[in-house]
Amino acid sequence: MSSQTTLNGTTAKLLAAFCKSAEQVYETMVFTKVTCGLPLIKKEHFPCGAISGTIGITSSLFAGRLSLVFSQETAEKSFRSMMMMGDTDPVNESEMKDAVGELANMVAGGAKADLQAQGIDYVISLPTVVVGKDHCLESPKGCETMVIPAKIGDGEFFVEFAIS
Amino acid sequence: MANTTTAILVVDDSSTMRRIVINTLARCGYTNVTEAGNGVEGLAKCAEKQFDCILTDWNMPEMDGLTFVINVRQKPNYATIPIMMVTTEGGKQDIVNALTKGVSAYIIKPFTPDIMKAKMEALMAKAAAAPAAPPAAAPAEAPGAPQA
Repeated sequence: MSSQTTLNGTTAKLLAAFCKSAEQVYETMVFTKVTCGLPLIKKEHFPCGAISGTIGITSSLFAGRLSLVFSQETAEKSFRSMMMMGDTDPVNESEMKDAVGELANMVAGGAKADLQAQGIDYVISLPTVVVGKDHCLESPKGCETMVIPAKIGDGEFFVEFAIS
Repeated sequence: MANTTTAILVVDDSSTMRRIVINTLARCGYTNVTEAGNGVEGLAKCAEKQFDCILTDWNMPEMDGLTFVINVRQKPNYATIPIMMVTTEGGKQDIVNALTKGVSAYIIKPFTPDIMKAKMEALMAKAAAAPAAPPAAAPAEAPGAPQA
């Protein structure tokens, strides 16, 4: 079971910025309202998903990894909405993977401007996408990993951030 | 008012992003759009056809957006063409850097269709008011060519 924790200042600022960015990205590009919950410590096999977009984040103060973890259903719904497709239109898996990577890219990039104003700057990598039923991303060694559930209607995805 | 004959090149390594930009441009009335997957492809497309406007991403493999802009600006027929960067890189210094390298305007992801429309209208209006770029140089005739 995951549990909440007291966050240090930088981690708290990063998580707040990623949440705000995820909500904004979803509202403007996916035309869907998202509400981020409270951060939890990642433990055991949580969260698991079918498709995850991951992006490396590097600064002089820290190194981190931001991931968006989706179920197949939530990823497909998000993709259809982004592409302005109908609810039952067939989804091209390759394009959907690309979309998940792009969502991670936009969340990381969108947070950057906010964080720069707070004295936190970083460089982001090109995104990578992991696909596999019920996969869980392992925390990098030496990293503290936080998980934020993001509610979309009946579904949810997870914003996962590992920092060292 | 959008001109449906305005030839636009969209350069982005993400097929999703290209589709989003193209869909958004179509909603703004711009339907004559060509795609390229990175800066190298973008330069190849620019050599094949004259575009009136270019939208490019920044972070791309093989050739990033800024390098693509620097290279395309060296072509006389692209010296003054409006080029807009479509990117997540929204820091002040990033924007200043892009503008000094030849980018005409900037749109930060995520964006709404209304924001894209406003940016495109401003960009094309500014381009219409500016002096025209020189045409691409025609190949020179060989000396001593036979007279008709």
